[in-house]
Amino acid sequence: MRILIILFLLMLSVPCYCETSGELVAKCREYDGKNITLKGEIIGEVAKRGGNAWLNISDGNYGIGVFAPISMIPVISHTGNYNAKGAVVSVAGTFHRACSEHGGGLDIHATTIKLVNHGYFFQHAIQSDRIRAVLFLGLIAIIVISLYHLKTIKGERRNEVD
Amino acid sequence: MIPKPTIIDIKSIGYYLGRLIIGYGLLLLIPFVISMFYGEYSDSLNLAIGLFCCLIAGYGLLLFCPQTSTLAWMQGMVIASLAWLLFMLFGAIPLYLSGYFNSYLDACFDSMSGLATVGLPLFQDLDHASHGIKMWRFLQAFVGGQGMILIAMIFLGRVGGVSGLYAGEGREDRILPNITHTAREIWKITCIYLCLGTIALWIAGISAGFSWKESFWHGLWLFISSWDTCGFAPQGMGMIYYHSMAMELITMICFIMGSMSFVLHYTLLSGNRREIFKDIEIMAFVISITVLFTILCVSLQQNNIYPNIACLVQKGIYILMSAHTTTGHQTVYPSQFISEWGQIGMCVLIIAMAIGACAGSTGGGIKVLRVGIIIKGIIQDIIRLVSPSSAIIKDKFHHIKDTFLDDRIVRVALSITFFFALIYGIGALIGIFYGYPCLNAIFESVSVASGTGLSCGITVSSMPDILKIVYIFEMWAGRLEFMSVLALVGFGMALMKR
Repeated sequence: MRILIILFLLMLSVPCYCETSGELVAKCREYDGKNITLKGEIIGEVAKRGGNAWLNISDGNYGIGVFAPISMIPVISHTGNYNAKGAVVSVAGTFHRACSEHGGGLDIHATTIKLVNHGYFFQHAIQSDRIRAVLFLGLIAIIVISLYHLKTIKGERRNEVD
Repeated sequence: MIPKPTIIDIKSIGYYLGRLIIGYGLLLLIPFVISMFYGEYSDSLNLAIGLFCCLIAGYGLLLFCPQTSTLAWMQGMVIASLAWLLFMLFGAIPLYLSGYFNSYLDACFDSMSGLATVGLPLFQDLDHASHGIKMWRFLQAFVGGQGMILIAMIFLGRVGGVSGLYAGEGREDRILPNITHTAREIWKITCIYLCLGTIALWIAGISAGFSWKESFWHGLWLFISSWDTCGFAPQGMGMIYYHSMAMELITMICFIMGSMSFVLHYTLLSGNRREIFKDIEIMAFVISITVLFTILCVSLQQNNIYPNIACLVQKGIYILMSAHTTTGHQTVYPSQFISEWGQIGMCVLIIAMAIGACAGSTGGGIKVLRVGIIIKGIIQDIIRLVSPSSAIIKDKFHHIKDTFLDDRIVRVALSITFFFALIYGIGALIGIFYGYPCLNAIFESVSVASGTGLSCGITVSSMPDILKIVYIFEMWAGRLEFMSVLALVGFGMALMKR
């Protein structure tokens, strides 16, 4: 009997692994208050407030807010924006469908945050066909604008003569 | 009966459309400069392509359609409806080239969504978008919210007959007798609030832990999005990204103020503060919000959605106000409307979105003023029925000034309401036809046509193309409030007459 109780308690304490943020949002009632693990890219900025911080992680489906003490957050060199692929972290913590501490929002209160990869900067390649298109369209625009102004000047002169 | 348009009429329309497209295109210089500043050269090129396309099309029209006469009322209406479609097509060029859309149709959808201040995005990976492209999206919302009369004022110079353009955008109220002066006052009011709102959101962003640079952009964009009741957000998560009650509160103040009539703003800023307590529209708005919020609270409380009253009020009031002002800022995930808020919650939001904001504001929907007039008209009819036939029943309402409630005013309000109900229904039926549940289809259709932009999950890139086109039509017709759309249809039919 004691073994069964221990096994049952062990089952409760094992984090419920889920694959996507989509699943968390869709089955938020099921996961409410449970320990979960979510892996995703840190997007935007890490918002530090007092001794805690908010980070938003996205696995490509939804972005979910993660609330954690600053000391728990690993050193992050990149967060996801136009110029960078953000660091990927694996967050373990308690999932809240409607967090009473944070205005009823859906969030995760982290217990551990593991850095999976650091992220990286990337340069958006400038496509040569876009440069050619800009030059071509710019040239046409200059011609059309010039023609319009020539026509306007001619019209004004004609009016003056009349 | 519309007389068959002459070649002079067509050239006149072409001329003013050309000028408007040039003005709209020149706005692309703003995101272009921002993109260059941030070293986003790839998107700078995309924005430059959009700019040159506008200049070629605009000057091309000027070349072939020289100015012939001042604008007639009908021409103004036709220009208003056509300009919105052309703005969508040209505005979508840099968006599509940026690579964040699966198709040009998606980019057009997003462009119209901004212009019509709907705020439903089909943007893929918004979190990795450039500052330039984000700025362009918000600028489109700004142009759409303020009305292209502003562009006309800036880029057309002195134009006779702009009243057709003004009315063509679904605007009736005038701050001053002259339309150009009215547009200038709208611009001044917006600039005052733009500065105040951006600074407030900037400070809130910094105090919420974000960097001062990004807080500035987010503050500016969120203000534009809130004031113009658009609902676009700089991040894919929308308002959820900020986890900040202060930012929610400031945006809520901004979109409530944005949903109020510009004439009322002008009257209040002129020192006539009592006006707010007398206006039929404000009274109807307060009653509507109170009733709907009470129903929503009872429903959410019964379903035990939120852990305490504070959370319930915070979420409930924000989303209800966001729906009623047709803004569409969301602090819950789309699927939570279905799984959490339930049928009553969704119905409350549908009613709020359908009624919409105040007339003469940046908001959409049927408009609270019209609903107030219709209700007053019904009450007047009931009184007439129970009164002796010799009795003369006269009622009046106060909206900026006292107006007698005659049958013509009630009829106009009923006509616009009928057209809104029609497109709400058509959009919903097509949604149902494509297999979406009835309530979800109604929710999305009302949200689109009223210019709200709350989504229960139907509007995604993978939805059927036909539905995207229907929604684009709903956004366009709903924003213009049908008059100029009907004028365009009439003009087209007259053009085909032998």
